[in-house]
Amino acid sequence: MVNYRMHTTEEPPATRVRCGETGQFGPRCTPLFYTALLTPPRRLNWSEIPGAVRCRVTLSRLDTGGAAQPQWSAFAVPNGKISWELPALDLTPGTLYAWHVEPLFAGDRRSRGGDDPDAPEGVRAPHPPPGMEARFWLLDADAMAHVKYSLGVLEQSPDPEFTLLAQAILLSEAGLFQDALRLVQQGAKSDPQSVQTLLADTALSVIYRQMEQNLTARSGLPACFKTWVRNREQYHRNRVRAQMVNAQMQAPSAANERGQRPDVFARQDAQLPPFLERKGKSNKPIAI
Amino acid sequence: MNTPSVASPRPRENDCPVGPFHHDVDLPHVLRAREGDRSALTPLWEKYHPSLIHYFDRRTQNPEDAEDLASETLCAAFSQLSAFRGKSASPSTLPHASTESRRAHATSCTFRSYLFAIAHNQMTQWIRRKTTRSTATFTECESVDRDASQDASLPDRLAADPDADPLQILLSREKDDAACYALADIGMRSEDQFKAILLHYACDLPHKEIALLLRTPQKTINSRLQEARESIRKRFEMVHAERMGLPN
Repeated sequence: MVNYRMHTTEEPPATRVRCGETGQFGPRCTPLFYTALLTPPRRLNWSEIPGAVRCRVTLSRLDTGGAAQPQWSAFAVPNGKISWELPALDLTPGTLYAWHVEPLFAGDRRSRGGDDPDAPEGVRAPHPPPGMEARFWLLDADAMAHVKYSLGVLEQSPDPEFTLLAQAILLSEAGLFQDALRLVQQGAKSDPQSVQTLLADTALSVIYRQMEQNLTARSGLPACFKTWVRNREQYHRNRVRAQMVNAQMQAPSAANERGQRPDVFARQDAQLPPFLERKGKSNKPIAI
Repeated sequence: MNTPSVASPRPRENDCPVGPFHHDVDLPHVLRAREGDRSALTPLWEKYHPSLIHYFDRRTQNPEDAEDLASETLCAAFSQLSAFRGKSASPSTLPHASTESRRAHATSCTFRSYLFAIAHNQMTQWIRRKTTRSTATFTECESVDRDASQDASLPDRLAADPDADPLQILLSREKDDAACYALADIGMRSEDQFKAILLHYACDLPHKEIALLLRTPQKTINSRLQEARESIRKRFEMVHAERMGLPN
């Protein structure tokens, strides 16, 4: 019998989309590269940029025309450090902010920056510096009240697992994609064959689709943002499909005996769904 | 040798003073009854009561119930004669018909078809009552019957009750795997339907509340839920047909 194994232990292909020559963003970038937040971020995390000896981190406020007004900037000089703690900043709810990580490489003459008094000799940023860029915004009071109300309503629902998914869906409705994805990830079961994992993957694909729609509505964003989201969404769709096919292939039914295509919906009459008996390898949590 | 009978020319709608009623041989009785002549109902009763009994008897396999249902149907039809306009409810019930024939059908519903539409509804309600009636009296029977109905396959239950809600049946089984697959299946096709279904069935939220949470008009939520239910129903019917070896 054909057994379709899901590729659950690997990161999905094209999870990291390169922006320009050096910068990249991906699952380890927090805040997520495009999300609303309930509170100002305390720390910025980004993916390691190979070869970069220093990074210039800049947080800018984007006006309605998309022009960036730098609010704060600092140099990260660590060896392999990919995180930076933010000072207490007075960020305005409802305003879009962009943070940018500009890598600096040793021996790059083009990158000698005149505005960098601390830059060591021979360390310059490449030109143009695409780097990593991510955007976030703080929920305004109205949206915050709506989210609190929604979560309060869901607290009374009977099933905690379904409630978790519903909460995540409502968070993504408000643009809180990072929190929504984390919520589903926390609730996801390690058993890749369980229906909870199936529903978690379904919810994740729905959240990414929501994110893609949001990105489409915004203009002036890098195209790679959308590509990344689409890839993630496709990845979780594939996982759902794989699990459904797996279940179909293992469901004994009259249709199967007749050589016809079996269906997962037919399994309701089975004594015990066969895929519940399977003990698959433990699965890494879904990287976000 | 029989000579083929020549069909009488069908009167055009404009020629008929009563418009859509022009084919209906029962029309004179209906019009008289509408004007308050109770005696006009007698020929209608005598004409249709036997055929209705036959209709219900074949479906219920119970002569007593069949007789009751036939009487109830006629009473319902007579009490709502003002609702009878000689038009079919939905031309979409003729999927393969041309536009002209649909239009013609939509304006040529007879009293007989009106009556049998009510009979169909009576039949549906009877099936629904049947599944709960036996549990009403005895507490012991209640759990047994409920368990038995839980064990019946979903396609069978849907076949027995066309108005049953497939997701409600699935979710009543303590988060049956099939319900999760149904949810996932919906999620793969429409995120809007997935959200509505998740909030309504899994979180027990009413339509109004869902509309509020998703900031969407309630009518939109209603139609999303309806579409999702329909797609699940079709899926199960397809599976059922496959299992029974029927053409899809």
